[in-house]
Amino acid sequence: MSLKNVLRLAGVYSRASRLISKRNFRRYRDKRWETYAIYGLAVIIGIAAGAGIGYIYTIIPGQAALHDAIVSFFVTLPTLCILYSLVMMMMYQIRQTGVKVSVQPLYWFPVTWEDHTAASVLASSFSGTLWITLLICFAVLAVSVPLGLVPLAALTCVGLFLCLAFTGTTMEMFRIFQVGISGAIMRAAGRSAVWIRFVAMIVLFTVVYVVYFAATQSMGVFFNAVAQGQLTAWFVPYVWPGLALYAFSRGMWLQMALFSAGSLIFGAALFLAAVKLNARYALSDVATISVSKAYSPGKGLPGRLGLSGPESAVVKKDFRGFTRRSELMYVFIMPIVLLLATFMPLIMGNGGSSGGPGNSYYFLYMALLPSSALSMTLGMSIVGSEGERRWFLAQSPLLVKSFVKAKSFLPIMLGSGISVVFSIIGFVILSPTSRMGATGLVEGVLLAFAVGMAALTGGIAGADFRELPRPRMIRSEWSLITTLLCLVSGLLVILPVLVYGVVTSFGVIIPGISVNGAFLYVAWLLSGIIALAVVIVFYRISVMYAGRLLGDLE
Amino acid sequence: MVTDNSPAIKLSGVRKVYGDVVAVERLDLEIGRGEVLGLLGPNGSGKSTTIKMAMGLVKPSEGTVNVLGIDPIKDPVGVKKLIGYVPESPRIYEFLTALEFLDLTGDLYGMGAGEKKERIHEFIGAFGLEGREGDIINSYSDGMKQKVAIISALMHRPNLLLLDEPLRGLDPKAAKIMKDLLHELAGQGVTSVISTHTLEIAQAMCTRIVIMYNGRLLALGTMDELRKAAAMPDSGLEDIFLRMTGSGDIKPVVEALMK
Repeated sequence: MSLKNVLRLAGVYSRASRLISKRNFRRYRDKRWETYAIYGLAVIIGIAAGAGIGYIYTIIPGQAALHDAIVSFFVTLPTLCILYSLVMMMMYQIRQTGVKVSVQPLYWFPVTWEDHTAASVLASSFSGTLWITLLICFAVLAVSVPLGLVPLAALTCVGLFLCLAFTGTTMEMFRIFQVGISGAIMRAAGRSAVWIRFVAMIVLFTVVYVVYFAATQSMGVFFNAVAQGQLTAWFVPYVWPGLALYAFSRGMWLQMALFSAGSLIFGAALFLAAVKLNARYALSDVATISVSKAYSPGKGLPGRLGLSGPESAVVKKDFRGFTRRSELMYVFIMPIVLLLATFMPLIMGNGGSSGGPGNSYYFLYMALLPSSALSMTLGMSIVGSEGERRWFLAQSPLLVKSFVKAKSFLPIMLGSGISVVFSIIGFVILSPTSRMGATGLVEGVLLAFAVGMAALTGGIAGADFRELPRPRMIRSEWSLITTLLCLVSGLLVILPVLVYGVVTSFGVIIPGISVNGAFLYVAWLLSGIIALAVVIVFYRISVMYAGRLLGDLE
Repeated sequence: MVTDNSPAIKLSGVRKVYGDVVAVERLDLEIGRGEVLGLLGPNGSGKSTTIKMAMGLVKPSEGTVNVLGIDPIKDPVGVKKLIGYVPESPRIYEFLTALEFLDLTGDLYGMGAGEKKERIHEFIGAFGLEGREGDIINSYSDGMKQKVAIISALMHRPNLLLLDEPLRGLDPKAAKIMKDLLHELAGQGVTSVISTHTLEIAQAMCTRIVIMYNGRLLALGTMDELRKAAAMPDSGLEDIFLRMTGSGDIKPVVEALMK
């Protein structure tokens, strides 16, 4: 392995990861000082924080207890480093799935797989986690001076970087393994491959987001679990650097030597495994997914629902795009994550007891929000997702109105479908009243129509067809405008029901006020009329903008 | 309405400006029915812009465009129905299979189910995509993707073909099929405009050749007319092209590189 090659390649790979995170890929100019300024800032903040804690240590009573607490904290830091860097690297990898350009190993140059693997591990360690590790290291070193813990602090820093390397190498293995395994599964799965990949991606994304939320929302619990769990999990090699530190802090020299040597051997084994996996899978071809050789032209569901042949064809194409393009699958994850993020505290809190106004709130949330969010994200992205293939629809004899109808079908229909499904699930789990259940269902569908159409208008007006480094789909200013449009449209649609709900609530609080139950049906009707008006207005604006979009490819 | 006597394409005083850059300058060009016209020129000479203006995909800054008797700005859908188009680097929907993509094309052009099925199978067989037609296009080679784009341009029986580097990446058999097909289609009155950098192909396939340079029409005519215009009676298209575009003096460049 050539250190010169490793450092050179690591520089290229980390520059590439900086580059693909920028908005303007083609005009990006790498500013080194900006990159290194973050590390410099982390060092300064670390030293300041450490010095501050050190100063507090010198002026407060009960120094012995604080001293012991800080020693305990030091020895858990390497294991904590594994956990936070794992979460951050997972998020980084998730972000990478949307990137259309990737850094391919420069296999035609005289570079070994060891060089490439080491560089890749270094680069992924730099991406997002290095500044935190630097901050912690310098804080630890600064605080160790007044406490007289400099040797332990120095070893803690070594442990931190060793654990960062563990995580980087593990993520590298996971990434390559996933390429190899998913390729093998795709080949073996045949026609089911598309759906296996779709479900697997949704599950993976959801798990990562849930882990991320759980980790960021309950850091205290997390830290306690690490502090207590490190000793009991001594057989897990990832905690060995922490255990070596623990042994050092207690003068257990033999154990320290054993865990230190074990850590180094484990690190080397991980690295060799990553090299082998890279050599085996890094250059494997794109897995061929074979859908079907049988050809039977037909109208499909959109055609049966009244869309014309060209409209139906565009809808079928879009649906396939959103279920087959990994960068577009995130729109399906949002409702799931919204739901999980809401119900996790509910489940963890009281086990989801039924009945009561709280459950009615959760039911409405479940019936209205995920489906509206899906309609909004789909509507915003469905036109921009054409990307560099925009020419194909532009050169096709597709009427502008047909284009708008076809593009509005998925945001509206999928949103409505999700609303119906979630209303039914919510009704079963949360047992709201039947009137509440019906209101959720009706309003959910109306919202999907209004929000879907409003989002599509923004998606057409602000379409961004750039695909490098990742598909943009909508310009950021239009994303904001569209979100506001959807919010206003949604509020307008539910306003009659909202008013009915508020007045009814007054009736519960103030005995003299009573509301006739029939007004709820009037509120539904008004909501329907408002939703229809919103759809018509935004449809017309969409047609106007779509005409410009298809008429000029400049 | 399409009238048989009208030229396939008529560009009159067409000019296209992007900011300060003039992409096409006062272009007058008439292309007859059944003609195979070669559109040549160095990079940035305005070939692709000219094709896009004929398609109605780019609006000219000045001048008028008439395609098969229709103004593409006034009736873009009417023109598009009659045209088959292969862009310079066709980005097609790579998440679809070839069958799905061609089915989409057929639906957009309003083809009936029976005709669509028949044409797709004919072309898939002719271009050697049998056995791979059900695979997602993402796994295709560039040449295979090009074949899919070409089939999508031809399958709806267009009256005019606008082809930007159509033979790029094709294997010899597919290239030969394409050349013969264009020849046969010309016999049936189908006009083809081929933009290419491969001068041998242009010389072999085209009835007339246009040479563009810096957005201007430099020369237009048959091979004999071009030879006469360049005063190079025994030369091939490559020498004529290099002379006309002022890039003929290549020897010193090569010698410098060999030092």
